[in-house]
Parts: sequence; C-alpha cells; structure tokens
Amino acid sequence: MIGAQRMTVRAAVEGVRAALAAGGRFVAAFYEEQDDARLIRYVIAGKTGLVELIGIIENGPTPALSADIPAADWAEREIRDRFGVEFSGIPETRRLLPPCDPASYRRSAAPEVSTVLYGPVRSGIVESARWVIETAGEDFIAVYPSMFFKHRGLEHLFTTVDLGRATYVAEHVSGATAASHAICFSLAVERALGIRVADADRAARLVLIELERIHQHLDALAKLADDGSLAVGAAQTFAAKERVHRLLAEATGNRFSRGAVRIGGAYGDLLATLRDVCARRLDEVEREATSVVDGLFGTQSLLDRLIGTGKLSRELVTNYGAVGPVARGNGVSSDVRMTADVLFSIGEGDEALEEDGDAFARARVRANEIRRAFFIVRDALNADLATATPSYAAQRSGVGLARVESPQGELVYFVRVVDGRLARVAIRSASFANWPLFVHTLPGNIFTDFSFIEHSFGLIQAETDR
Amino acid sequence: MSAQLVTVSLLIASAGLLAALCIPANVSRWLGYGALALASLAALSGALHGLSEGNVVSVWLALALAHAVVRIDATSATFVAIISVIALATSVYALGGKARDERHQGRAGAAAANLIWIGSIIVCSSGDVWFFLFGWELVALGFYAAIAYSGNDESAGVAAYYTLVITHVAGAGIVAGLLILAHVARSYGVMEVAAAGAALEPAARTAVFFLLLAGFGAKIGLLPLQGWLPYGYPAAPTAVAALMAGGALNVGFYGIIRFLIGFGGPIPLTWGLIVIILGALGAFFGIAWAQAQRDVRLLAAFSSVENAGLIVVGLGIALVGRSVHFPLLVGLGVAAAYVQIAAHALAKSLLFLCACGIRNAVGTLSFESLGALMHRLPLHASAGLVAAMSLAALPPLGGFTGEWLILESCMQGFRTAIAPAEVTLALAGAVVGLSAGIAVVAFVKFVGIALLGAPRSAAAAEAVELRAPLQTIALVGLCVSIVGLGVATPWYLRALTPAIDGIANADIVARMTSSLPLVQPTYSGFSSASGLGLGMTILIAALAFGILVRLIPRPATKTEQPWTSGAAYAAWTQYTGTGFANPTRVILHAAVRTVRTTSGDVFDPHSVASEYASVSRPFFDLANAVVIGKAFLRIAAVVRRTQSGIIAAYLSYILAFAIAVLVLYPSIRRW
Amino acid sequence: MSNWLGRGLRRGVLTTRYPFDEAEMPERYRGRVRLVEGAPTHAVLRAASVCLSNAIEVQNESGHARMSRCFQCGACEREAPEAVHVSNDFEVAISDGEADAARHRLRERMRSLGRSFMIRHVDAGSDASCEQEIQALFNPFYDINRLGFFLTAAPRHADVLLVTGVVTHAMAAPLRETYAAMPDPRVVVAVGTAACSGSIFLTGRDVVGPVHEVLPVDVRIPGAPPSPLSIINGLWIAVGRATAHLAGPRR
Repeated sequence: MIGAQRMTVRAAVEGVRAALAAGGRFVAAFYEEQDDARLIRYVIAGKTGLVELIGIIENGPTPALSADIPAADWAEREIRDRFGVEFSGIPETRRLLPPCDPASYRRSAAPEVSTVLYGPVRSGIVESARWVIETAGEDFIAVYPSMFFKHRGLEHLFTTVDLGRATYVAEHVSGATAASHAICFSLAVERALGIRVADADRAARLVLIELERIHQHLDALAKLADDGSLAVGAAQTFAAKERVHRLLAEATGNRFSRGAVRIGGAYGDLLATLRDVCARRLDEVEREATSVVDGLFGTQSLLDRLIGTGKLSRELVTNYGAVGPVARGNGVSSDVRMTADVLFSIGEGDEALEEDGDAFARARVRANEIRRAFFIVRDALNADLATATPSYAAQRSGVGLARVESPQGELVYFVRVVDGRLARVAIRSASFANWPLFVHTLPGNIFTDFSFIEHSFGLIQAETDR
Repeated sequence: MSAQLVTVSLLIASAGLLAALCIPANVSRWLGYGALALASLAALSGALHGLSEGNVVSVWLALALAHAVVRIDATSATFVAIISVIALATSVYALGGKARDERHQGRAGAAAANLIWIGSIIVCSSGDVWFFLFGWELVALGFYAAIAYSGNDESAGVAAYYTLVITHVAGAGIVAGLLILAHVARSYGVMEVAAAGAALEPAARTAVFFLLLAGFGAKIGLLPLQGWLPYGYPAAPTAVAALMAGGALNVGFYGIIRFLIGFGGPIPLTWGLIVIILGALGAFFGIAWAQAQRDVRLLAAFSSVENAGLIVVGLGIALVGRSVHFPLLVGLGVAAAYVQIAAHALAKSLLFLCACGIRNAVGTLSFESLGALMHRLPLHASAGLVAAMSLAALPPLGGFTGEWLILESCMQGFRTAIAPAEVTLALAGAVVGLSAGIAVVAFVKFVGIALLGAPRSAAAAEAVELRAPLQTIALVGLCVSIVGLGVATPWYLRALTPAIDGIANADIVARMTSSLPLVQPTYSGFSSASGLGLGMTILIAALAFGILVRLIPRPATKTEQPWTSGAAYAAWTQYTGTGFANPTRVILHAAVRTVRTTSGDVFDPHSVASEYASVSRPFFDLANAVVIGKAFLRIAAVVRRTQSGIIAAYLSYILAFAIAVLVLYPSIRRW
Repeated sequence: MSNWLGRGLRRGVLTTRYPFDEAEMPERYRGRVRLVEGAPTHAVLRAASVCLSNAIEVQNESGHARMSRCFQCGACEREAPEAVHVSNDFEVAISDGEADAARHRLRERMRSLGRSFMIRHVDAGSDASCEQEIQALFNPFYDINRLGFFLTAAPRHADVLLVTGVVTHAMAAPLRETYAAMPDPRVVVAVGTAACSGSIFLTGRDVVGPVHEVLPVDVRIPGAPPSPLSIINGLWIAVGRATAHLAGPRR
C-alpha cells in the first residue's frame, strides 16, 4: 500500500487525474515539510487499496484539482489557507478558514434576498459552525458553509507529544468517536514502525469500534426523531444509547472508551474484560437498541418527514468522494471494513446499501449497520483466537497510512515517525470529506428541513476542524 | 355664494397655471403652488357654504362662443370640499419644499397640479355635460403632464402613455354614455342627463350604465381597469402624486354617485350585484398585490385599488338599495362610501407626502434600501405611520370607521330577502374582511421595513430631514384630519346631511347619528361604533400604562446589540420586505404570481455571484394586455389599407357613403 | 404504528433520583484522582511525569491532584499504583468563592420563579463528546427537567451558560457576544477538562485557553467527558443547591 515515489507536483497531479479517471476515489491531500522540501501527498482509493502520489512543490503555483474534481476542493483550499501554498486554478478565491468576513460570502446582489447568519452559536446542544444562508423568505436560495471555528491545532499538537501518550491526543480529536481515532492512529503508527498487534487486542479494538458505531448511529437516529417531534421515540432512543455508554464505562472505565487503546494493542486484558461485561449486559443493550430502531421505522409520521428530504444524486456523491452512510445512502460503497486489514471483514453482500439518497435511505443504512454491528461484536467476542504475542517496534522511523471505518465513514491517518518521535500527523476524517456535500441537499427544501438533513448526515465538527 | 366662490377659485388656479407655465424657474413654482393653495381655500369655503346652505346655486359663464354652468349642489359641494382639502395640504407642503429635485420638477409639477385641480373641480361642479367632459379631459391631460414632464429617469414615457391611453379609452365610454343620455334627455344639463336613463330601452340602458361604469372605474382603479395605476403613480412627482391619488381620484367616485346611483329609472338587481362583486374582487386583489410590492409608491398605488374596491362595494350596496326600494340601505351605502372616500383621500395623500419626504432625504423608495427612518425623519415617518394605520383600518382613525360602515352595510343583506343579494352581500363582506387582514400585513411591512429597524443602505443611514414649517403644518394638519374623521365621524356625517339625504330621499344622517357620539347603521338597534370612545380609551390606556411603568421600580437594564448567532450585528442580516411578506405571497400565490429567475448554479461553491430576480405579475397587468392589443393591431393593420393616400379611393369612399345615406335615409328618419 | 406508549410503560421508571439520593458509577469508571497519603516521593514524581496535562502537582515532597486539569486517562495509576488512586467518585465539580453572590441571587430567584432555570449551551471548541453528555442529561435516565433545568436557544432568556471545549481564537468573540447577551443574574459553567483548564491544549497556538481566560466562570466540571451525573452535580452547585468539594483560586 505504501511505497510511493516522489515526483514533481505537476506530475503528481496528472497521476491523480489518471487514477481518478481509472475509477479511483479521491481521499486526501496531505501537506508536509520534510528536509527543506515541501510536499503534497495525494491519496487515492483504488480497487486494491490506497494509492499515494507524492508531489514536490516547486517554484511557481501548484496546479489545482479543485476546478474539475470537487472532492479535492476543501483539501486544497485548506492547504492554501493554512500553509500558504500558492495554487493556480482554484475557482473559489475566498478563504476556507477563519478569519473571514461573512459579508463576503453573500452571492446574490438582488436586494430582496435576505441573508441569515446561522451560527457559529446555534440553538440546541450542537457544535459550532456557521452557514451564510440567503433566502427570500423560507426557502434556500444560496448557502455557504463557513466552518473551522473549532480549529485547535491538533495535528501540530501531536508532534509535541511522545509516542507513548500520543493516543490521548488522538482521542481528543473527536471525543465522541474516540475509539475510531485512537485505533486508526495506532494502526498508522504500528504500520510505520512494524509493530504487530496481538489477536486478542485486535478483537477488542474491533468490539470497541462496533460498539462506538452503535452508540453514534443511535445518536443520529435519536436526533432525527427529536427533529420530527417524536419526543417519546427520541427519549427511548437516547435511553438505548445510554445503555451502550454504561456498558463501555463498566468495561473500559470511560463512557466513550477513552484511555483503553494504546499503540501496540490495548491496556490490560481488554478482551477478557469486554467478554465478562458483555456476557452480562450485551443482550439487554441489543434488545433495547433493535427494538427502538424497529419502533422508529414503524412510525409513519417520522418516515414521512424523512422520505424525499435532503436528496443527493449518485453523481454528486461520487464526484465529492463522499464516504460512510452518506455515500451508502446512494449506493456508493466505501466500507473500509471490506477492504482494509481488519480482524474480521464483512463480505460484499453484507454492506448496507440504499438507492434513494434521501434522509430516509441514510437512516436505513444506519439501522442496518446497528444490527450488523451486534453480530460482529458477538463474533469477535466468541472467536477462537491464536495466542500470538505481539512484536515490538521493528524500527524507530517510518511512514504509515491507515484507515478505519468510523461511524461517520472512512477515517484516514497519516503519520511520519522520525527517530521515535512524531514528525507529522495528518488526518482526513469522514466529516471533512462529507461536509462539502451538505449544501447540495438544500435546494428545494425549507428552513425546517435543515436540521433533518444535518442530522441525517450525522457528522462531527470537531474532527473536521481539528 | 358657493358657486361664485368656486368660480373665483377656478380663476385663481388658472392664473397659477399660466404663471407656472410662463415665468421661468423658482418664482413660478411659488406662484403656482401659492395660487393653488389660495384657490383651494376659496373653493373649500365655497363648498362648506354650499353644504350649510343646502341650496343649488348656479353660475353661468360666458366663455368665448360657448357657455358653461358651475352648479353647486350638495354632492358637488362634498367632493369639491374633499378635493380642496387635499389640494390645500399638497400645495402647502410643496411650498415648504426645498429639495433639489423638487426644484427641477417644480414648474412642471406646479403647472400639472393646478391643471389637475382645475379639471377636478370643473368635473365636480359642472352643470352641463360638455363642461363635465371638458373637465374630465383636463384631468387626464394634467395626469399626463405630471407624469411625462416629471423629470424622472424611470419609465415615465411608458407610464404616461399607459395612463393616457386607459383614461382616454375609458373616457370614450363616458362620452358615449353621456351623449346618448343627453340625446334622450334633449338637454345637456347634468341633472336632466342623469335622470334620462328612465327613457331608454333596457338594452341601451344596460349598455350606457356599464359604459359609464367602465369610464369612471378606470379613473378610480376598479378591476379590471386598474392596470395604469401602478405605472402612473410611481412615475409622477411624489407631491403631485398625492394630489392625483388623494384628490383627483375622487372625480371617478363623483361620477358614479352622480350618474350611476342617480341613474334614472328602475335599476335591476344584477347591476348592483355586479358592481359589488367587482368592488370586492378589486379590494382583495388590490391588497394582495400591494403586500408583495417592493416600492412604497407601488404599495400605495395598489392600496388605492383596494380602497376603490371598498368604496365601490358601498356604492354597489346603495344600488342594491335602489333596486329593492330601500332608501335606508341606499343612504347607508352612500354614507359608508363618503366616509371611506374622505378617509382614503386623507390617508393616501398623507402617505404620498411621507413618501415624498423619504424620497428627498434618502433618494429612493425601494423597501430594501430603507430602514430606521423613524429616527432620521421623525416628522415624515410619524405621518407615514398615521397614514398606514388609517389604511390598515386601525381605530380610532378614519379608515377604521369607513371600513366598519362598509362591513355593516354588507351585513344588511338579510333585509332584502332576495337570495342572490343576500349571498352576494355576505360574500362581499367576507372578502372585505379578508382584504382588511391582508392590508394589515402590507402596512406592517411598510412601517416595519421602511420606518423601523436598522438602515439597510448608506443613504438611509445618513438621511436628514428638511424641517420646513409649511411641510410640518401640512403633515400635521392631515394627521389631525384623519384622527378627527375617525373620532368625530357623526359630525362629519352631519355636515354632509344634504348630500346623503338628498340621494336617498330619507333622513339618513339623523338615524345614523341619533345617539352621539356613536355612529350607527341606518337601521336602529343593529350595532354601533364610537370612534370617540375608542380614541379616548386608547389615549387613557396609553397614559395609564405610561404612568404605571414610571411608578413600578424596574431592575437596571443594559443595552446590547441584537443577537445574531454570536456574530457582530450587521444591518444586512435583517429581514427584507420580500422576506417578511413571503408567507402571504406563498399563500396567495394564485393572485400574486411571482416569476423568479436565477442564473448560475447557486449551489456551486465555485460560483461567486449569482443573479436572482423575482417579479410579481398580477393578471390584468398591462404587459399581459398586450395580447389583447395584438388583436386590435391586426384589425388596425387591415383597416389601414383603406387609408391608401390615393385621392381616387377617398372620392369613391365619399360617393359610397352618400349613396348609402340616401338609400338608408327613410329608415334612419323613422328611427 | 409503533406503540411508544406501551413500550415506555413496560420499561418503567429509569430515572435516577440523584441528587436527592445516592448514585454510583461502575467500579472501573475513572472519576476522582487522589494521591495516596504517605506515598514515596519518587512514585509521586513518576506519576506526575506521565500526566500529559500536568494535573499532578508536587510541592514539598507531597503531591496534589488538580482535578481541573485531569482528563481521566488513568495513566498515572497505571504508572504508580502505590501513589495514585483513581476512584469512581463522579462529584468532581469545582467552584470559586467569588461566585457566591451570583449563586445566591439565582437561588433566591429559584424560590420566587418556581424553580426553573434556562440553560444556554455554547461550544467554544470541544471534541464533541461533552455535547453528547449534555444531551444525555435530557434522556430518561437523568432527566434534568425534573430538577427545573430547561434548554433555551435565546441567550436573552438564559440563566446558566454552559461552555464546552477549550476556547479557540475564532470562537472567543462569539462566546463573549453570547455572554453579553445574557441578562443578570447569570452563571457560567465550564464543562469538560478542556474548558476548565485547557487540558492538553495550552501549548497550542490556535487556542485562547480555558473559558476563564475569556469569561468569569462560576463552576468548573472537569472530565473527558464528564459523565451526566458529574454535570448534574456541577449544575446543582451552580444554582446554589449544593456546595462544591473543592474551593479556592482557579488553577
């Protein structure tokens, strides 16, 4: 998977175009400074795995992919705004990152169009992000997302911390999906340094990720029910989510399973603890979760609000390189569990795919994934494992690229370890890949549909802004 | 005495017109408007004298080879009084103006104003039909002059053209109708002509009635001939538009009252019902279009359409009363119409004067550029607020009492005991109520978007009010009149006793004002309203609340910026007028058809700018009437071929016509 | 049509009676960190060195755990179990004496206005887990509506401002605007270790710092994320119904 060669950035961009034309999906563009050279590492998902193309930035502007490849838009603009790299051919000249004057995002010169600044402080218990919405009353005429208010500089923070405690930083990138981030980061470092993880720990990690998938999907469904004024349904769904958190607190000491995963495995005999706690609790958690999901899908008033709302087209989804339930709602497969190196992979037919691309389809994807997750957890807990002992770091320096299917979709970590210390950590979260698609769902909808569509995407701002 | 005063006033105004036309620049403006003020003062006193006397006075004028009769009876006096009050206020306001663009339009505006006023007074006080038509044409010419020479860069040419064409075509109807009646009456006196309807055959009577209705309806903006108002009013200089919309409009109502309610002979019930239906529909559509407008003058123009509809509903009920021989119903309808006419005249002219002040201070009357004018232009904004409240029919103002009386008269349908009349009156009442509700939306939009909030443009933020004492007098005078009309309605009706009682031939006003200060419909025990009581209650409650607030200790307050999701407040995050009226626009979309055009993929993140435009297209919009026009143009193209310019062709036309006349003469003679 | 009513009745009452009754977190739950009395100094120093957010302070050979900096990873106990003991005590909220006046006024108002408080939440730069725990306060297990706490979107109506996350540069001004838009009396509660002390972020150049660098904070609830019971404890202190375990100048 790794083993990319360096070339000029021009050649790299051509290579990316060729790979995408051959049916690949744009994943990420990571910027690095290494030994006085400035590089952009392009990552494309091909049929057999991830392909990397490393381009060395030369004097003069770098050719941009954004103009015809929407999936590269945010990645390139973030590199431009954060690292000061000059690009030629990015159509959007306005900044992606703050500080930005909201007045500059207004597009309609027509005086009868009002502009609503939605955010960054929004109503409810939500993360901070801003949309500049132009409307003539209640409908959407133009919407411009203005995010990255929550940028905390985590990628830089990694490089100030020693390897032994760096997983704690990864957990801070997105606390709600802490297991996915800690595990993906650990996988990347393990790949970089040649560390092999014991099967027991790999099974434990799988259980943590799938339990996390369950509580995040229940969260998304509960918020949809809440938007649809199905108060009892929402309360019951949040209660089902609460049970998952209590199980995790009992097994790992933290309701979001933070502090459980380390580079090289997990702390303590995590699998045994999980087996013990799940033997007592998992049946009840599964019963509650599946019953409440069945209940939600049996409530016609809620389904009426979801069907037809926030429709995406398959073409948009593939052009933007969307991942996770957002992509699966349109039948675009991107499940890492099918391709990446995991303990158990799910077969091709098991992936939950829908066709319609509306909020209902995405909710159905989530419901199916919840059911599937319980199967995977039981399989992992009951599996007969080889008792291989893990090996320790084979080398002190290396480069690693890993990806994991977080509840929001494909999460990618890139790490470069130099002499036992982290020199660069770059993250492409699923939320970062999917947010640009959000505004395309809005035409034809009115203001009250906004939170439905937002919750049907189910994305996390913290991992976008990092 | 009354007719003599009116004649003198006409002479003064003519002198003002000549002065405005002939003497260059500033002085002529002063002379023109000053003459208008004097003339309207004279005419007003003459009219009041005429109302109090109750006699009919005529003055014969020898004009070159012709003669004209100025005849003041009760109806004429009422209308002369109303138009003169408006003209007085407008001319006093215009005298106080110092703004630059008023100066440029000053001469043309003064001349047009004088011309319009002269024409209106002639129409209302003419004793014979030729003088009436002469006055009518003067009004049309005055409108054209005001619009065409206003110096506006906007589509003044198109507006003037539309105005002229529609009022002329309608005027043709009036000419035809009046001349047919005159032929039957064998006299040109106005009263004889009005009474001549009795002598016509039914088919001819219907034709004449509806020709006259079309003609007068076009002047007031009755559906479906209202198309010129939204072009005409905004294009005229705003102070003159006050006179046009508040003053000259009333000649149409005068014509309806004189010739249609005074139509000789029995009036079939269907005529009255058709008039009521047209009025109700006009009221509803007018206000539905008004609330969707983005310019203050367009909102005012469509509000005039609404008010015309309301007044016509009242007059239609009077016609129904004549059909079923209920003098009380006739009197109620006419009384309601008179109150609403006065209320509309005062409020509309006040609204236009406020718009004039806004235009001079800010430079634009588009809602999306206004805001916070209550702080910057307190006098004009308060005047606009009073006008808006009256047009939205809020107590204790004149508009409330007028609309209340019209609703009351709609409720009397059950007395006729004829099913179609009952149903029509009930439905009309419902539609009038509905339009009153939509009027609130339209005028809340006006007040909220233009007068309150934060300024939406730099011009609005820097607007400075020109405090001229004459302007203050004019605006305050109109405000006091509107409040007075609402509070003192019974006394207003009593002043019009000869007019109202004369038409209905019953003691209407005594019945309506039998228990002062209440105003009742003519049928006792039905209901009553007290404008005075409402006004006093509101005043006392406001004072009490103010005192209470001062007495109760309040916790300390701090002032912070409005909440905008954590961002610094900017004026462009406010509602626009279109956004505020959007729900009503969506609900009424069958009436307010909005055509939206957007260019570019507005959701494409790479597009930096996009075009968005929305236009509301009322049907009977003149642009749509082009379709009808095309048919006429085709016919005209065919007919044009006969005008070949060849002498031989014309000679053969004359020969053919002569032979035809000879052949047909016996049958013509018999007829 | 789903039978939500039957479903709810079958499950019975799930709501905890805390804070009117005792409640307990699972035994393995990492709550309050305490340094063992009389532990050897080298063990304490080992524990302090392994803490990423410098939560263990060593003074004169004795150590003290500053909960406001602790994000409950458990590394200290793993490294030096003889010096550090992590219990499942979830009542970790910290308040400062200066805030008593505001709390007193809020408490008086609670009596006169029928015991309801409106909470406004602002995310200043959190990692999304604190939001989900605050959202959990409204689920049937905790139901803070029974305690008189309600959520509001308008800062004009809010009594309590809950701030999550370390304050980033971009969110400092919106946070100040929200605070300015609230009428007195108002209480600010920082939820989560990042909001209380900045946690691991103070070396970052993109953050302003913990909430008390931007606003006057009355109660701090550490935790990563703090469990809903910890947040209830903190809110109860914020409205003057309970006193905090620890008081003193903020660190």
